Amino acid sequence: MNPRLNAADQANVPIILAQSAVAVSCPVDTTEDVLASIPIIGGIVGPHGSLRLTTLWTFTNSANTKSLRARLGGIGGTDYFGNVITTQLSLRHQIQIFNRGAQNSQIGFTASTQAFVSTANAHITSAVDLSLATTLLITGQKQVGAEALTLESYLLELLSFGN
Amino acid sequence: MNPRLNAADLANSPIILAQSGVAVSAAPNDTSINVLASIQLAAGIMGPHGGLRVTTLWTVTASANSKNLQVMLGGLGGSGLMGVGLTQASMRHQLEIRNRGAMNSQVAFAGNQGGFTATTGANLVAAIDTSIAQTLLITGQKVLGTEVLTLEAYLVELLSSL
Repeated sequence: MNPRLNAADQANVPIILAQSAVAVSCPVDTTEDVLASIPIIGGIVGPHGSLRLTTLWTFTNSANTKSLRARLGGIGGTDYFGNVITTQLSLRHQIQIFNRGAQNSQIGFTASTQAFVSTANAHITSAVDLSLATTLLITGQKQVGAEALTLESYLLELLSFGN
Repeated sequence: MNPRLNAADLANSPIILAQSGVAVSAAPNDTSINVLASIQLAAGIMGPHGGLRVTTLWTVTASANSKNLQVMLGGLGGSGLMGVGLTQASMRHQLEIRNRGAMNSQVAFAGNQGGFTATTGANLVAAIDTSIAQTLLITGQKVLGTEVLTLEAYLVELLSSL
């Protein structure tokens, strides 16, 4: 235990909910493919908690679109990633989804290939009820099925604060 | 507990000192420095080799008028270690403030639009004595008072090094 901190501080440690560096690729299709599915236990993200997702990707460098998504709430849920890639080869990215003082109100940074940057776009918001169990999906979708789109690794952390 | 780690390893885990996703806006019709979040730092909490990692999410009026976003170590009279002049509508930013082997010497990356880039700007330094209790402030200031400046979310992590 860090002697400079009290027990309450010590409890506010980021927790790794899921992590993998086993590559998962989209099959030869143009549909939205689930590359990782992470269950979120009901209530685990408190009213002032957040989720931090870091991902590493590889894809075909071409003019055809490759859509990378992170959906809170399953396949019909809100996409907090929203990156559409064309003439690049790889990407490392990080998003953070904050509860806004209630478990059914979230905000995250707008879709961008840069995780930390200023932009003209508005933030992403959602109303997923995290007091109930839900799923965070990492998905990929290709415009041309024969191209490659691979989730090389991901890390999902739970950041609790006082609850 | 991970059996591969000892107590010293675990003591160096990042600790969340403060976090909020509740939006806080600068006062309307105001051009002064507005404190949007105030985080208490206990005396000595950083240690001589520790750091603070501050992640922020912002919304402002998109205009040529600057919106000055700042992280102040040592309260309002302390050292500004973020110093972003934002003109676009939104930003996600991350800042690390590191003690430099002494609790009264800090370094941070020069202010820019995001926190991760190359720049011609020099790094920022400070001499705040973190062996005594200090306050970390997140502030906003508008050149044009009628515009909007909102701190949407923030996360302050302690990076200990015992």
